[in-house]
Amino acid sequence: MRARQPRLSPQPWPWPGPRVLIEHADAEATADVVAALRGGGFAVAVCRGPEHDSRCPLAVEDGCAAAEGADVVVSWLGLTTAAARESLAALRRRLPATPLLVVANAGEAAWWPKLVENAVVLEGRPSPEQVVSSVRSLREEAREGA
Amino acid sequence: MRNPFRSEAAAFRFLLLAAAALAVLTAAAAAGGADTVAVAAVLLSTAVVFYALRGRHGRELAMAPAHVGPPNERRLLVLAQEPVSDELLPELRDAADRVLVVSAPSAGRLERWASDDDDARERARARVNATVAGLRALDADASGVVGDHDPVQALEDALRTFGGDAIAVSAPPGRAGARLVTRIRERYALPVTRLDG
Repeated sequence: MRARQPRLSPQPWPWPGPRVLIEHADAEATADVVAALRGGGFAVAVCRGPEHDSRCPLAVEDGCAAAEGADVVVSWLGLTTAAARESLAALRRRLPATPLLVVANAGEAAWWPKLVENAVVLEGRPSPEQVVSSVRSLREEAREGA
Repeated sequence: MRNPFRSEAAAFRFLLLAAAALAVLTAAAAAGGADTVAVAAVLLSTAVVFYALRGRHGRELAMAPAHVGPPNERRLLVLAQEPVSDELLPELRDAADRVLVVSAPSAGRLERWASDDDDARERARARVNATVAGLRALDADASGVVGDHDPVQALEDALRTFGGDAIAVSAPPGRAGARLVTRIRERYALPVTRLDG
């Protein structure tokens, strides 16, 4: 019998902003990006996304304190799986004003135009510097528009 | 208490638990009548209350604060739940420009509830003082603080003011230490090293 995985229960941010939430299935792969964002003055949270039969709390009625408190969300779960697309759709629906950076495989975003509408899309494997630059731009645009 | 119908899976589990509880009460009624049912109901209620109070810890996210201090300054948080060996101090000094030593008083819940955790606090302070003194003897920029009873919370508090680009943990031996290091690695999006020796 497969061991039950604990459901996602993101905690509120314990530190002040600006804050960036990164959604990435492999948390260890984000170490360089986390370090670059921290060096750029951002507090960072890393979410591995829903696992096995669990669902993103944004897609059910729980909500997500980490997403709600984030100034920018970097969606790096891709667009290949239904669970990843559900998480992204839920994020767009529940937090439409939160600036969004989507990292996807080359050409993938073209298949899901509604999901990436008004989001900045980076394809392939962006460098930490590219991610920080994009996050900064998104945040600046959001502040100018506010 | 969380809404049991937050997801389809949760609703199904709730249905199964309700059916099981009904089966227990039915069996109690068949076996011994009203008194047995009452006892079974009390036991079931106790189990429900215990479960609700204990809570089901969900999977939290790994987080890290923004870097604090000059851009090229590297800050190290040392969590000393066990004395830090003198042999490791040079390595800690070389690993960072500034070091903050934190220790959590490891009093049991009963001691804390009875406000009898002075000994635990004194032991934590001794660990902090010894480690800071050893680091300063090696010309390290080091300071220390006794934090919250929960080591993970003590780290969170320290990260708020001192920042910290990496965490080094002197953990108790055995499973308790392994669990503590795992909790810290899951909670903080920072490099975490366990200090051995």
